[in-house]
Amino acid sequence: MAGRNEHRAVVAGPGGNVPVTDGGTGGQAGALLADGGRHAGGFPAAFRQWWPYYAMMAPGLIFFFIWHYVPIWEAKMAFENVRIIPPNIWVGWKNFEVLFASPIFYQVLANTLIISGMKILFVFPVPIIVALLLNELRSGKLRGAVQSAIYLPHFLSWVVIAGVFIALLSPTDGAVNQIQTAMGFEPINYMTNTGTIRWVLVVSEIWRSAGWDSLLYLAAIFAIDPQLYEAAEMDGANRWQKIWHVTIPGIVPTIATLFILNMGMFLSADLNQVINMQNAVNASTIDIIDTYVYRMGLSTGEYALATAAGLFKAVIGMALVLISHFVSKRLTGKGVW
Amino acid sequence: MAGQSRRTPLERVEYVLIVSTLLLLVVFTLQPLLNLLALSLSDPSKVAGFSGLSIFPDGFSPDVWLLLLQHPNVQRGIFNSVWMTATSVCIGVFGTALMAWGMSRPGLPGRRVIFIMVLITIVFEPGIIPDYFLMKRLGLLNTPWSVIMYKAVSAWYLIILIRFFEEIPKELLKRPSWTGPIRSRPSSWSCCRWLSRRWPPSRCSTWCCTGTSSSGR
Repeated sequence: MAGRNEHRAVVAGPGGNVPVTDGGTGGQAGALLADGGRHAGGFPAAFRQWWPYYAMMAPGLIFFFIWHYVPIWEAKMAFENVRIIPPNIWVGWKNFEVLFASPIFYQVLANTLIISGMKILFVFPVPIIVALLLNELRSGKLRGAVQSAIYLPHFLSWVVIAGVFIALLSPTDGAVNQIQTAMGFEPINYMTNTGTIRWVLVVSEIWRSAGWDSLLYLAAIFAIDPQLYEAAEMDGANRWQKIWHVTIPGIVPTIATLFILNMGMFLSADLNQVINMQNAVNASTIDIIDTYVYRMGLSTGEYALATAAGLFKAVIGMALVLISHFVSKRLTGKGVW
Repeated sequence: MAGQSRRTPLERVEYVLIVSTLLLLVVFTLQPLLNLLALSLSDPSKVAGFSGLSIFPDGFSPDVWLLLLQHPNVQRGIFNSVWMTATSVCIGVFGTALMAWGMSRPGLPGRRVIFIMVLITIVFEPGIIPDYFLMKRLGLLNTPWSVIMYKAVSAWYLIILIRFFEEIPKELLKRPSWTGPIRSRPSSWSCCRWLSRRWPPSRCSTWCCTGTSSSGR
């Protein structure tokens, strides 16, 4: 009987649902677990106490192992000569040497850096501005209406958005070129013009994500203590002073977090968007690492070379995330995790 | 509002500018969509040369939509999207929620190690070619399961959910221990009722498709 009681208490204990003041054996178990899970009996004893939780985590852990860790292991093929009939042969850095010797790789790298740089410069601040503007609206109804309208494109896929932009930018019937012609300018075919296609990527990214991403900032703004605004008003702060001295400091942690996440994706530049906006004429200007990997790997069958390019991207991405994480932790006291 | 009486003409101009900027954004967002919708509902004979600025159909005919809905490829496409998304979300929510619950328990042995392992998958992604070979090895190529299972449980949602579960007040988890029978179970079930109140379906679906846990006011 006593043994059963103890078992119960132990199983229930980890969930935090046994108060430490519970009498008898249960109380001891609760106290034991309260100090951060240090177990006298080592791992087997801990496992006996916690097994329901490990059982719950098992499906997720298996998923993580198969879908996140096996690919990391598979990535070793970047160092191999991939053959149709296994086994592959280990060739060391040869694939990377081939990659770094090919001019097309530098072309796609430059394209990726330019496009990502433009996106960080011109896309990243837009949701912040939108959130600040939305916050200034006094009528809740108006704010709701504006929000629902600008969230809409987030739910469209890039295939659809590419279609919308091809129609919007059409040199004959497109709205943009109609306005341009009415103002006396020559129509431009934005989708096939190598000078404008990168701007099309930037603008379509804003079109798609500015509204939705402003949601995160807006949530952060709403979490700011209203007393701060009242105090600022007492001191005679005007609208801009309140934004500058209360709102923006209040959302800096959110900005930092999202900036780090964006930095981590700096070499990604959105495969999905580019692949849908790409055509034979503009391909050289917006060919990014991801489209290069896709083309080399899945279309041409140069698996090892494509994996090497992907791995290069992954390592740079990792470095960027870690650097921005630690810099952010230094500056704002808050990283991503 | 207290501020109402103190508002200066300059502030009023500012407000008008703010509102008009936002309305311009709404027009910029909606006009291209409305234009295409109008185009699709226009009389087929008038589609060529349809102005890109117009948002009203020129003549009216639902022919294109009817044709689309009756097309077998479109029907199969819609059917596939729905069942594959639904299955993927179910599997993903099941795996993620259970794992997050376990990981949100303070004092779980190995919690930190598992958390770091999860973070590594965010920071380091080896790219699409290894994923392709994984699918090939699992025999999932050319099956819907390659789409359904692909990263159904992923680190972002897991971390968001862990944070969410950690916010649950400890008092709620203590309650079941007062009432005998539930005591011996892990406390997930006792929290379900509470969660279903705190986390309505709309939020759940938002989480499923976008990975955002924050909501507005």
